[in-house]
Amino acid sequence: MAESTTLVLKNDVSELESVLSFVSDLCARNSIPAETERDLTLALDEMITNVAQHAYPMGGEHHFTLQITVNNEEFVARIEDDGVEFNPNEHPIPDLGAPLEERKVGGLGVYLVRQIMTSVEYQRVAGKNVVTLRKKLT
Amino acid sequence: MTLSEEKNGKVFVLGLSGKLDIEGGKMLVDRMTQILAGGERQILLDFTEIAYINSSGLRALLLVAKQSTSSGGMLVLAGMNDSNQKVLAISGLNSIFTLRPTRAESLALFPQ
Repeated sequence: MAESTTLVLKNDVSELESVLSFVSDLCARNSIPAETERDLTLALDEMITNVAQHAYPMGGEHHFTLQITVNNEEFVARIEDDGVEFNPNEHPIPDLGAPLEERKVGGLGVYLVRQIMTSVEYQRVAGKNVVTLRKKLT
Repeated sequence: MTLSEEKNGKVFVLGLSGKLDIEGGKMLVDRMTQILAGGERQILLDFTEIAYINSSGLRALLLVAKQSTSSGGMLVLAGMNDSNQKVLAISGLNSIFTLRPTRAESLALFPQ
């Protein structure tokens, strides 16, 4: 098996529904186990929500792309946006051991993605953020 | 997400169903604010019907825990499935919350 699809998305969280439904169908077609599907869903949910909410602080309609490739060995999602520079690998790690009173409520999304995916790569190319998420399937 | 509510003795039981995401998280925080303002202090959140939690949901859970603690309340979470527990554990939240597998086991923790 090997398939690759590129989706063009708007900077709006309402785009998530179609992406997650696409991922669900793709996992079914490729017999990807439920636990892996759940990790892929969560990772894409977090990254796409991030772009939709934070990449274009000036507002207005913008487009970005999500390319999903799956083969026998791995699932790869490449997200490319021309919004503000954001390197997920340099995003500060939340203080997970802090007591409740001192615990900050945000900042968990990117951290979760880095924990559940096999790798997260970042490149800044010609004014674009290019994030590549990989998950081994074997 | 949808919410269902019942009172069991002094315990206010809030059952959650669906996805605890941005929308579900807002719903949870709004309802918990009202519940605490109404004077409830022993609160059980039942996650048996929650299939999915993302970071927006975790953020809401943390907010709710802070609200509950600062009002002197007690909060117990029941029925988290394995994948939700995994997300909680990665986020270091399993040590912040009291979790029990079922609603009955959660109810047993509250003082009579």
